This record gives sequence, C-alpha cells and structure tokens, in this order.
Amino acid sequence: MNIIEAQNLSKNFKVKIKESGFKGSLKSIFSPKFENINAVNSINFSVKKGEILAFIGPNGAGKSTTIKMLTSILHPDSGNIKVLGLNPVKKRKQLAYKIGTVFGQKEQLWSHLTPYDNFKFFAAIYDIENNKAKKRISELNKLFEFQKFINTPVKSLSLGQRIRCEIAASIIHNPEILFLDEPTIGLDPVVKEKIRVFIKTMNKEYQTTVFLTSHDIGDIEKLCKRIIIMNNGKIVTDSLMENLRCNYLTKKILEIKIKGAVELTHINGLKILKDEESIIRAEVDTSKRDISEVLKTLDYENIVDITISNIPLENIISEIYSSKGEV
Amino acid sequence: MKKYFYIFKVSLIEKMQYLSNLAFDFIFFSLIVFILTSIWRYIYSDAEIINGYMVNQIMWYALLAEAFWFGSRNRIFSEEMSYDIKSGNIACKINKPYNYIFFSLSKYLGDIFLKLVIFILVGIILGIVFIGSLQNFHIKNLPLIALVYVLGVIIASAIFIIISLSSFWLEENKSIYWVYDKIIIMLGVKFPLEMLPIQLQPIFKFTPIFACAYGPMKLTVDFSMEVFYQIIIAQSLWLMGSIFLALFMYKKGLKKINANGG
Repeated sequence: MNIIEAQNLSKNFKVKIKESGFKGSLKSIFSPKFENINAVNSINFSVKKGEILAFIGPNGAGKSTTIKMLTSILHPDSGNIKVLGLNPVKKRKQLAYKIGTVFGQKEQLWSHLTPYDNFKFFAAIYDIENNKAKKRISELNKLFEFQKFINTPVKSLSLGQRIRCEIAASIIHNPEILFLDEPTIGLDPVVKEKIRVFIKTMNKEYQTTVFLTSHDIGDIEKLCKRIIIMNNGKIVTDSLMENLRCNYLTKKILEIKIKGAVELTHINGLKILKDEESIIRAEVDTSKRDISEVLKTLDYENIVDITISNIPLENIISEIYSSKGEV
Repeated sequence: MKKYFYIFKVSLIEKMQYLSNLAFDFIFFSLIVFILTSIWRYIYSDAEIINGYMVNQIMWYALLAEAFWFGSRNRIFSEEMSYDIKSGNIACKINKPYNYIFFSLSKYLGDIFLKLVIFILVGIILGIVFIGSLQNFHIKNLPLIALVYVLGVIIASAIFIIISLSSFWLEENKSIYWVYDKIIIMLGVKFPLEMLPIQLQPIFKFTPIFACAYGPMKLTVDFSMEVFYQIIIAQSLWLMGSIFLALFMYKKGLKKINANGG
C-alpha cells in the first residue's frame, strides 16, 4: 500500500540577481532582476508502508525542498501530493499527528530543558495523556538508551546524545512515517552506527516508514532497500539497492600484492589505478573483459595475494550524479 | 487550549533557570525609578495637580509603566521569531499540531510571566520606599486592573508578532521594532496621554499606546468604571484586530517561506 504519493510535483524559488559592485547594487534597487530556480521539477514517486527509502542527491538537488513539501512546510507550485491519504497543504494539522520529522542541522528540542521535560512537552503537543506519555518515554528509553542523561539539560549533551533525543522526541506520538533529513551529520562513526541500529529497530518494531536523506553512504547502504536519486530538481534514478548494484557494478577493483616485478598487459577494459612497489590496483570493466581473462594474463609466481572487490557505492552514486546531470 | 498552556508552562520552567540574570535589570530599573521620581518631584514643586494628576499618582504611573516595560521585554519576537523566518528555522516549528502564532504567543507569555510579576512586585516595593503608598487605590479594583494588564500584555505581544511576521517580506525589520518601542516609551511609559498636546490626545486613543501602555497604568492610579469601559473596549478591538492581522499575515507568509538550500 502506498502511503506517500507525489505526482508531477514542482517547486520554484524566485531569487534576486544582482550585478557586482556599487553600480550593480544601485541598479538592483531601481530595476531588480529575478531568476526562477526550479528546485523541484515535475517529479513522480511513491513510497510503500514500512519501507526505508534513501532519498539522496548532491547539494541543491531538491531533496530538502521535497521533504518540506511532503511535511506541509512548503506549498508546491504544481502537482499533487498525498501523504497517508492526506493533502499536506490542506490537512497540515491532521497530518502532523501522523508524521515525525528530524532535521539533522536544526534543533527542535528546548535546549535549556532536560530530555525528559522535552519528551513531556512533545507528548502534550501531540495530545498524549500523562500516563501514556510516561509509558511511551520508558518504551523509547529501551530503544534509544537515554537513561544516563535523561535529566541533563539538552544544551549540555553531546551531539550524538542530542540526535538520539531529537529522534525519540519526533516519534513520541508513534508516527507512521518518519522523515529524517541528514540525521547522522557531524556524528562520529560509533554514534552513527548506533543511530542506524535505532532506526532499523524502530522500523522493525513499530513498522515506521522511514524517508531518509543523507550524504553518508553508510546510512544508505546499511539501512535502505530502495534508493531515489535526485539531481537538478529531477529524479534520475529510482531503484532497489540490489538492482542499482547489479546495473552499475560492471566494474571490479582488482588489488594484487606482489613480490618482485609483475607487469599487467595493457588490455581493453583494464585501467591501472595505482602501481607501486608491492601493490597494483586496477579497475576492470567487466562489460568489456571478463575478470578471469585478466587473471589469466598474470604471472602467478610473483603474486602474494589477490583481492577482487566491487566499486564502493559512493563511486556508483557519484557516477550517476555526473552522468545524469551537472553536479 | 491545554497544549498552549503547556507551552506557556514549559517556557516558564525554562526561564526560571535564569532568574539570577535579572539582577542587572533590577539595578538599572531602580536607577531609572530614582531619576524619574526626582524629576517629577521637581516638576511638581510649584503645583499640586498637573493635567489631572497629583505628584503621587504621576510618580506611581511612571514607576508601574517602567516595571511593565522592563518586565515584558524579551528577545522572542524582536530576534528569535524574525531570525527563524529569515533563516528557514521556522520549518522545525510549523510542522507540529499547533498554530504557530499561538505557540509563539504562549511561549512569549511563559517567558515573561515570572519576570513581569517580579518587576511589578519590586516596583511596588520601590514605590512604597521612594513615593509612599498609592493614594485612592482600592484593593477591590484589583481584579479589573489585573484583567487590563493581562490584555495589555497580550496586545503588545500580538503587535510584536505582526512586526516579526513582516520578516516574510522584509529583509530587515529591526528599525520597525526600534521605532515602535521608542514611541511606546516616550508616549505611553514616560508620560500619560494627558501630558500630550490636547489636539493629539483623541488621536492617541486609537493607538495601541492607549490599549497596552496608558490604559493599565491610568486605571491603577486613577480608577473609574468609565475609564475601565473605555479601555476594555479599546483593548477588545485591538486584541481582535491584531490577532486577526497576525493570523492573516502568517497564512500569506507561509507561501513565502524561503527554505531554498535545505
């Protein structure tokens, strides 16, 4: 069942253009010029209940604008949106009870209050009775493990602790969809991993649909089964992660540890990336040459070890960005 | 309504942690009260009544107006709300199941409540020390006076909300705060309307100065049911008008939220 549907969704921003220097400033007062920026340009997609979807793209691609339209913050210029069967523009308040949002770069907690007071506050905002709120806080405590700092003012928490509380506060009302806009930005690898585990558990335990934007490939690889890539306001890829890998994994990385000299024959489909004293690193385009053919050309006597790996997802995504639009 | 009371409560709890910050304000407030009472004593050295006010009444008027002004000031509207609109931070605050205008109003009232009560209490103590007790004041009038004070604070905040909402259209609106603030200080706080030229007095009765600065003070120092009715009518009109305008501007402004760039 689709719980998010966007059809021909568009949003433009009018931006003032000013020529440089004093003359340009004067000119812009008397005859201001504006440029229309197509932040989101007629996009279509849908999301099923219980999915964890990665919604990614380079800066300025239109991801955050799309999230803000889905969560009723921005009004679309054209197109239709239905989130949980509701139009976010017309049913803003009704929708707010059913969704949660976390903007990694923006705080929504009251910084001078403790996480506990903040949770009670959010519970009151969502009309949750006191007893139910207490029960929900203790439930979330099991998931997010914030007992140690539940009575410390938010301003004194570390970034990782704060983000855990931000997410917990956003799901205090048990929303059906959670929108996460770069939730792991600025976090160290250990905390990032914890946040990912929380998101996964939450998705599993409460069947919460997660709509995630992130520049962190780890978030996408470890959490999402489906990926939508945006660039220049348009959707350039909408695919399952495994399909994306299959379609784009025509390249393999071959790393050979050697003793003495090994010369790789220059063959079609083989690109040497690194050739140092004891290690050779090469990229093999398997659409042009089978990996076994490359291996046959090697002189095994001088080889200590061989590793064959897929190219990182990060490279695949960069390739999609640059092949399907300007970055 | 329950949730707005909770917002008020949370804002109050947050503010309670920083009450000690008021110490400097009290020193400055005491200094101003001392200067004002000295000036009025000097002005009244040759007269018993000026424009209907005895020296005791005019000094209490000035003192309470200062306490009201000091107690109701904060940065929620002049800085926070305008910044939120300009920076796009408002995005985190409007997608919740409440009305953002009433959220801001409740937050503001919670933020100033304790401060305002303390300033009025300190003002009363300073008044008794510097001026003596307020003549012709009857405790039975207190509920009506309190009502006018509460409405005065709400109208003043609704006007600040309107100025803050202008950030949807204006890049810089600090000058509007500055001018509005100075008009209120000069024409409502430092002097009662009766001290202004007689031709201007009827005009000022139609301004917010009458509803949120002059009205509560006048009623405290010179209570009459006739003045009470005049003030409560003016306050009701200003309250409805300002809230309606704030809601209208907010609705229009929402379409102009600049969230370009994430």
